Amino acid sequence: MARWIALAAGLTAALVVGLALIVPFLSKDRVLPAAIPQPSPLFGTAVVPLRAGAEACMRNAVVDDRSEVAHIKVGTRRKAGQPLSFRITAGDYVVERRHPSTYRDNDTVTFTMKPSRTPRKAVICVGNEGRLPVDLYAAADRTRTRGETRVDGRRVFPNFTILFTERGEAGFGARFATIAHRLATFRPGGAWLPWALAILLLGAVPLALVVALFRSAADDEAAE
Amino acid sequence: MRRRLRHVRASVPLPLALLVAVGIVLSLSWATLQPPWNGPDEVGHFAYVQRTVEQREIPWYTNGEPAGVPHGASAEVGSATVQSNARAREGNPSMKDVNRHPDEVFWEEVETAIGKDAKKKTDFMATMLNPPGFPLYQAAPYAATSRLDVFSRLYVLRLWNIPLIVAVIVAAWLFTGLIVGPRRTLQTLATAVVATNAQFITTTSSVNADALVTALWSVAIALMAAILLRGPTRARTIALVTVTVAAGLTHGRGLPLVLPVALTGAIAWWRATRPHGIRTRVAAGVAAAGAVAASTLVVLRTATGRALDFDRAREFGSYLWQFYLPKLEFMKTDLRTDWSVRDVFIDRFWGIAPNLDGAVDPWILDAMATASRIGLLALLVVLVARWRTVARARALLLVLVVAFVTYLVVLHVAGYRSIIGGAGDPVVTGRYLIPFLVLLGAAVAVGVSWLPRRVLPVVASVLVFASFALHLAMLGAVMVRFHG
Repeated sequence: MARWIALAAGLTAALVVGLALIVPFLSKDRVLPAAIPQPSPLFGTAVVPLRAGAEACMRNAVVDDRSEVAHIKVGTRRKAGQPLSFRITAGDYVVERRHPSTYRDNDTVTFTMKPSRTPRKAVICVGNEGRLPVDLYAAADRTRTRGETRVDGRRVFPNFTILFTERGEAGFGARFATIAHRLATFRPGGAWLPWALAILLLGAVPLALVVALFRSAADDEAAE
Repeated sequence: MRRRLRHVRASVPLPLALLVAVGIVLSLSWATLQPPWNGPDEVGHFAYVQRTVEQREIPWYTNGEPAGVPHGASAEVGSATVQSNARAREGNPSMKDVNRHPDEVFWEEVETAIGKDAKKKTDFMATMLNPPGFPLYQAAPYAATSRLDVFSRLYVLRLWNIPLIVAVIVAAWLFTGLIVGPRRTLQTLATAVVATNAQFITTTSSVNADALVTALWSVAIALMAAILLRGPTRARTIALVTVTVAAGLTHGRGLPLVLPVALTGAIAWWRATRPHGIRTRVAAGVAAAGAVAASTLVVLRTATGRALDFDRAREFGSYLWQFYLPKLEFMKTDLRTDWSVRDVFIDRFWGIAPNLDGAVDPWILDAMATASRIGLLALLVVLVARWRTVARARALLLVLVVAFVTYLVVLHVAGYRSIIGGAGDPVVTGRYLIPFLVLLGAAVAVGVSWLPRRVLPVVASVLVFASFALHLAMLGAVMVRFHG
């Protein structure tokens, strides 16, 4: 009898964990990050100044198939915003956008785009098309990535911060294919491994726990 | 050989085999989910292994941090941490684990440019203050995969901790079996609590000496229990001595094992010889008192710099008291009173990933605080109600208490020295408690052992899946940290 109680209790507990925890977690919609060529710094803010007409370009960046909205942060030195140009060059994938001077000092400015079909190496440029200088928020501390920023061809130390997100919201469940590719990067194997582990984790592990409880209750019964 | 394998397979109980498989799957999942170089001090531990193998030396700095020598990992590891964005990501919530194939291409270009010798010069790193047990354990897989790229080597070293995880799970099974007897449901419950503990699996799924320290402590606890409850055999004694030496050669946190092992040996000797006569008993009493006094002096000497510095000793005592209990009126000092038993035993143990990359919801931590109090109370009630049984195992109980208290004192001494030394790091943290996870598992089993036979499977199922749910909650928190 005890073993059947163990089986029923184990299956019920597994079901409760699945329905109350796993399903809501995987289906919860979030704004998911895409490529992040340069994150915000950790220890102190730096800037890449852009005088009128100047352009800052970051090499060694990557954009991927989920990079739909680019975010940069711009300071205007307490003056009005200046029109900005934005350009991504990644082989035959080219994006060119403009942003009007409608933003304020220290605002995050976004550019939406159709993403590349595949992840690519890219050069990302931001230009000041106004008449007054602006500052691109940047990182010059440990968080500086491999990106190389040049302003009008001249190398500068800080990289301007830029991150890409998806345009809408999505759940981890819906995006697991992309996440699996990310989890396969800088690890051996391939995207199949995160998939296999997810199936084992969410399917085989609860099953193993239920069987272990069932079998141990059966052993206890037999020992009585 | 085949017949022997078949025998081993037949003698391994199915629940244990399944729980070992669970531990392996969870470990593989964490080894894959955690970005490269993200584990606690993972760069330093990897660098220790790399220098041991590549430079064919054991860089154990026994006299502390050397002056005037260069610091840092190899050029290969340094470049790899930059190219994989690990440096940008460390402690930085705005950086995620979003690398894709072109990021690997960038790395391959750098790897070619820096050349093969880039891995052959590692300088001093703080992990090299530890004894060389862990790098020696990891040396063979590193050497076997030294031709692979550095990320593959790192992943292999992470996976090489799986045998240690299996050792902990098996130790939990055996230890609980010794405590509760042939009651499989309780054994399964205790072992499942260990196998699904998120702090244990996350910590041991990165390249970190904690994995070996935890395995050695766990095996030692099971061996001490076997010696005290079943009697010493040559194999048990040799194994316990070997494990103790290995623990001491792995980490400073392995050293406190000497005391409970010595006590186990003394008790076993006492039982074996049954010394008669008042002189022998007085001598034994004096030796015990001397050991306690010597231990206290060593603790005070290590903590305060002098064995008999009353002010420092009082300050250390005050710090220790305030870590666990509210401050008393006459206490003058406030040393990191923001860091207390709740932070270490609840928050950092149950719900915060080792490198602070992800924390479960605060309500879960509050629930775990309540559950821990209830569990402790249930355990005490059971121990009191079954005092006759407990009395029969009092020697083991004494040894386990000595083991846990000694370990905590060593941690607190390190924490106190760090605080008064100006570093401010309280040192004591949740992942440092995992060497005693086998005790937690057994305590949970003992706490519910009084339940009727038909109720026990239900409670066991609830507890096992609560532990698994907690594991998933931590995994989810880390997913949000790196992918959300």
